[in-house]
Amino acid sequence: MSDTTAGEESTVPPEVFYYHKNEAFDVLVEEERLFTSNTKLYVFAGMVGFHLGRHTTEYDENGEIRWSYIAGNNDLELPIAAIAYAYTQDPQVIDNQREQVRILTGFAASGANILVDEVIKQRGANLDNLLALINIDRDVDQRMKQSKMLAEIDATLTQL
Amino acid sequence: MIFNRLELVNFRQFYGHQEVEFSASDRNVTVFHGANGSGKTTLLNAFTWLFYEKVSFTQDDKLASERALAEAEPKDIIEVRVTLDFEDDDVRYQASRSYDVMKHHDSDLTGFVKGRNLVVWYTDETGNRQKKANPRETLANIIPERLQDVFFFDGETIDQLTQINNEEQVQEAIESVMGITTLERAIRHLESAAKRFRKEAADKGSSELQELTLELQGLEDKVAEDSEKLTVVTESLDDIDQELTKIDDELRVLGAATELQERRDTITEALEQAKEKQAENLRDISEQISEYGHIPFAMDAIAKLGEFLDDKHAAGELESAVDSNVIESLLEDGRCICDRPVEEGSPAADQLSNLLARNQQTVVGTKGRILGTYLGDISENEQSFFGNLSELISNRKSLREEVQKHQAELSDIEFALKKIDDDHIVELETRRESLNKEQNTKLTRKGQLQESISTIEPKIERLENTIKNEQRKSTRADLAAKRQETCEYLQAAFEKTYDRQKNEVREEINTWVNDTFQSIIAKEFYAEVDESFRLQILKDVGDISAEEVDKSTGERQVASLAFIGSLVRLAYEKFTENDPASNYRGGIYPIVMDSPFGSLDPEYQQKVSAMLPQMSEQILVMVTDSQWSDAVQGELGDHAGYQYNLDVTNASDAASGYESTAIVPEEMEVVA
Repeated sequence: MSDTTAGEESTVPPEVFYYHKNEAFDVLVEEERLFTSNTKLYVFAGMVGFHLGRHTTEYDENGEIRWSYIAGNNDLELPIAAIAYAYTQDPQVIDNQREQVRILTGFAASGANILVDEVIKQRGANLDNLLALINIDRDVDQRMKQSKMLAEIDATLTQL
Repeated sequence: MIFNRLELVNFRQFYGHQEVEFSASDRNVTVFHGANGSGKTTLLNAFTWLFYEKVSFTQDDKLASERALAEAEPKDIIEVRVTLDFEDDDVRYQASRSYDVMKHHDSDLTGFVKGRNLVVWYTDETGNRQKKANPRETLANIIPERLQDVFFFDGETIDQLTQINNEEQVQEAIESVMGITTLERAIRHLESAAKRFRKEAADKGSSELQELTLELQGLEDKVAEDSEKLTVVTESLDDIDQELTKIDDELRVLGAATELQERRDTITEALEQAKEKQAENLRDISEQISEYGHIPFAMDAIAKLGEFLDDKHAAGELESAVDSNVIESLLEDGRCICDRPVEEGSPAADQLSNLLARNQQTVVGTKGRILGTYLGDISENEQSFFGNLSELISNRKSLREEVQKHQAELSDIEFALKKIDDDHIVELETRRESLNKEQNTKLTRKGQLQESISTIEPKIERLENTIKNEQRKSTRADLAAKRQETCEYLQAAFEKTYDRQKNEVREEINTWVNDTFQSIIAKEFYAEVDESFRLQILKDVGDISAEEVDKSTGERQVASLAFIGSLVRLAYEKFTENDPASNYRGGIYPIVMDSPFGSLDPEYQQKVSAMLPQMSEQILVMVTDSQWSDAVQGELGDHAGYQYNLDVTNASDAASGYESTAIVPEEMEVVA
């Protein structure tokens, strides 16, 4: 592999990028502090959007995030790379964090709107509604197998 | 570590100045005999007080000898002191903790602590006696506080090691006896190397980069400064706590206030605990959702990515974790990242060239490799996220109800206390109120400092990442930045390797734990430390092997003793092997135990006695006369280098009118 050469589009993520910041961010981050930062909610919304297959390219860019809030956190970087690969099926996207951000932001815009509908506008406490959303159907046996497989791959790739 | 000599001055019932020497080498057991109440547990507490300032007495503020206080005049100062001479890793130490206790009035048999002192001396390599700058830290490094129940143990509670939720203690015990490992050193070295490269990248980078690095340094300094202030505030709060405890003790014995004070103590403690838990619960829920809530939605995509990376790795199409530019620079400079020379034609240079050639033929780059090494961790994080969240939510409701109940109760008690017609109670209550105000101010300050630290720490993390991105923009700084990243990657890989080794040690210890356990317990039970570091007793049930069973206290005691003995034995073997290739160095640990035969049948007592001298290089054991049976004496007697009697003079027989204990050496047979 080699770095991007002159003439090619950069794969380095933009230092600052813009996302769809709706009511969900005011309520869940600022008021109720159910999320510790806008960045964490942005990523969460992106994953919700991905899980429900809702991607959009049309949204307000009224929120601002620095890439440095995400960079270096593997619990964020790995899922972002994974959904970008699942969405594009292109191996090149794994090393292209600029493209990953573009894809995630599209999912996050839809996901943030889903959060307003499913968490804030529903009856009951927002925390309870949020927990109901997180408790997605899970096949426990399948997850155990998946976990074992991932641990084995991890061990293989970690060998120095 | 080997204990040589213990000196007690006015420590509880050990009136005046008393000394004991401890036995090591061939006759490695020192025995203390005494009736119930003669001071065996106090001797054990002398060690925990010296090392950690902790005791297990019901009245933990009554440390000074009653006889010494009775003989003193009001305002006199009594010295309470424990001094221990010991050796650790070929260095001789003398540790001494003391309190200056002032007698208040004629009938005061508790006293008031006016001064506290801890000093640790050591003899340096030139033979000079030097004082340690951080005595508390020195002692905590030698035997960490969390391990006090492992190396200074009460026979009646030692079975707790086998109970649920003690995984952390078992794991820490294993880490501690492994000693400072080569890997740990490498991890620390890489951490400082990464910082060095960060500075180098800043020096070679733009003026903006230099400013960011200065800003980072400023934030790191601020965290260090706030942490120091936090320590001072915390110590001051400890002092207030002690005075409040003293007032509360007094209110508890003043007839009119007794019942109300006792109820207030109980409820205040329960309320504080409930509030702390409530705040912690909300923080934890938010933290869990923020950090991990998104992962379940992406797990299937993560699994697909993992399979893809695995395929590419198998096909040799995945770039190594070390960036090609870094490899080229190492070959060009002729120096490794750890600063060792890499000469042309050397095996190291060939290895780097091969790695470079392989990197140039790959399909997926360094980022894929680095993310791939996190697949197992993220899957574990997802699983623990659901477990943690479910527990947190069920705690949330019950905590809210608990707080409301305690607040109403406390308000009723305060109202009732204010209505009591007694000047002294009012005086104490006034002082109590003033201390409470001071405590609140300091608690607020403590909260501010904690808040400041927790606000700055994420800023530091973000700034570090911003600096990394800035470094990439500068060609001159880029290489140093990549070196920094490589150090961080290696650090993470070494940490994983360390965890694997810890598991290997666990497996090594397991064989000894079970052998020892089965040599004592006749039944068909097994003992093992499982993968989660739980010490368990198992048995075969039908075709299903190794099912956990309910155990008697005696069996749990034996399992705990077998575990401690195996740990100490492993540490000793590693220490004496002195193998430079070994990743851990081990150490020598003495064991101090009070009534280790408490819940054991006579048959087990004999077998445990036979095992004890083999458990450690040095054993200090405190037993009652009834526990010192013929069977126990037969096994332990020949190994005892010193034996002492704890000779009690009862209050009714003493000229002073106060009970005290003298440590009297027993005459020993001389062995050729």
